[in-house]
Amino acid sequence: MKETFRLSKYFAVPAGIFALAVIIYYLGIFNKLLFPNPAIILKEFVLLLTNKEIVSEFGLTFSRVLATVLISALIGIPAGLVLGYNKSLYRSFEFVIDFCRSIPPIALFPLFMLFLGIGDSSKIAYGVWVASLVILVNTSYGVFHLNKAYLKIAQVYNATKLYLFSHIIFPAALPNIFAGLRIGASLSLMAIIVTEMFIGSSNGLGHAILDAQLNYKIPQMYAIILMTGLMGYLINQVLMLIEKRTIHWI
Amino acid sequence: MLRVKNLVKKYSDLKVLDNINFRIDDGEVVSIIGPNGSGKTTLLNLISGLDKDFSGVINHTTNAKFGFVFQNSDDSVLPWKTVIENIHLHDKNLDKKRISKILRETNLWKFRNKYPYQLSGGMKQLLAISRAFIHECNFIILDEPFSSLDCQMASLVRQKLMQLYESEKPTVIIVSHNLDDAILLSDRIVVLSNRPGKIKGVVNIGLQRPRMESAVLSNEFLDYKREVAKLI
Ligand SMILES: Nc1ncnc2c1ncn2[C@@H]1O[C@H](COP(=O)(O)OP(=O)(O)O)[C@@H](O)[C@H]1O
Ligand SMILES: [Mg+2]
Repeated sequence: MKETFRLSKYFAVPAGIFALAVIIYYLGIFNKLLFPNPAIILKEFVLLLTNKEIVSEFGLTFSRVLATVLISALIGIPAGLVLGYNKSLYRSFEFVIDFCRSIPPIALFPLFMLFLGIGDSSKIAYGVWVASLVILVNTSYGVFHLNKAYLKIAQVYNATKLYLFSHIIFPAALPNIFAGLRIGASLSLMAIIVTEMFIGSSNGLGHAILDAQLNYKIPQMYAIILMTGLMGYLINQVLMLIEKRTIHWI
Repeated sequence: MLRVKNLVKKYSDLKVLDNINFRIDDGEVVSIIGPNGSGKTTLLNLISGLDKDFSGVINHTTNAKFGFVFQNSDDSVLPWKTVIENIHLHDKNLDKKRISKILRETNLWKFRNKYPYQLSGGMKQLLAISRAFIHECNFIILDEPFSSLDCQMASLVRQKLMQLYESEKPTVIIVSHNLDDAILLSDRIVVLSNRPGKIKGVVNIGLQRPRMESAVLSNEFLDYKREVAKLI
């Protein structure tokens, strides 16, 4: 009984939004071609989940996002730990980091294409550019704000630098690292979808959205947009699960 | 041995310690008491070499090895490491027998695979104390180690500290706000003034060792208490 109540609370708002969309549709506020019946979109969404072609586009986009997040983490976390520990080094890099973060990333994609072509490498490199900076900055903040007593413990017991970084600074910064990873993951998804929409791109969910729009398959377009949301949601949930398992001491 | 001569410490323009001079012999227990902000924690950081920015002289024996216990028990241990991992830190070659002996003495042996969040504040302080003894630190520095504990726990931790001290005789330097703690534990009490901290006076405590908690009720104890109180 309680469980049902909890679930109904969970689904109340989405169901409400769906109902609102249905009302808007029947009131005819928007052109019905551009704002199709939500029930049809939902049906289309369910159909797409078993559509081999779309599922493989989903898989393609997902693997690009995954590669982006992994590479960004491998760059952002170690760099963030080192810069966070060495505040004067961080100060030297601060301007460059903040300036890079201030460039609207999409402005750089043509440059990435010029160097790397329109294949996976330019897409992933572009995603890494966006996500690794966020992960780096979050990691550094985690190190800035770690409990200084832990550093004193390392110092009085003459811990090696390797132990200091891998067993003290890294775990202490983990909450911020995970925050960075989650933001980085949603930025990666955004970045990958955008690059898939560029001229010359021929696959991935971004391309499928554009394709559906160009061919006026409007319900399908909405359904694919929902799929990208589903992907972002799932990635976030998985990261939160890993975070909870990893940071078990809080 | 530890010798401090003409020690002056400033944080930029703020002078926190002013011309501090004292000497602590090996195996002595010395308490430092003084008002908040008088520079006690700063003094501990300087003595243990955590802070190297000062003027004056700090000398200690060449093989000095420091162990630290912080005021807040959550600072004293790493929350993501088990008891035994907190003991070892990076050092995998500690004497197994010694670990088990000391952890049994502090009642932590059966908790060796637990995490700090599964321990009480007093147990975390005991863990930090055990670590210092297991690593054979010859200087054990405690910064208000009992102030975050309730009085039963404080009393237990104090007893265990004394017990370990009696068998190993390291040099112990304790900051405390509690006169009873300071007198019960120490051979000497150094009283600091308001900021900038200067030494207001030193009281030698001649109570026989090993000391029982019941010593606080003796006349001798009360005389020492009066003597220290006069300095504060
Ligand atoms: N890292 C620091 N930078 C600047 N001022 C500090 C720092 N640490 C302590 N102080 C100041 O020095 C004074 C003495 O601090 P502390 O040694 O912690 O005193 P106590 O431990 O006796 O309470 C305080 O006024 C404190 O604000
Ligand atoms: Mg203090």
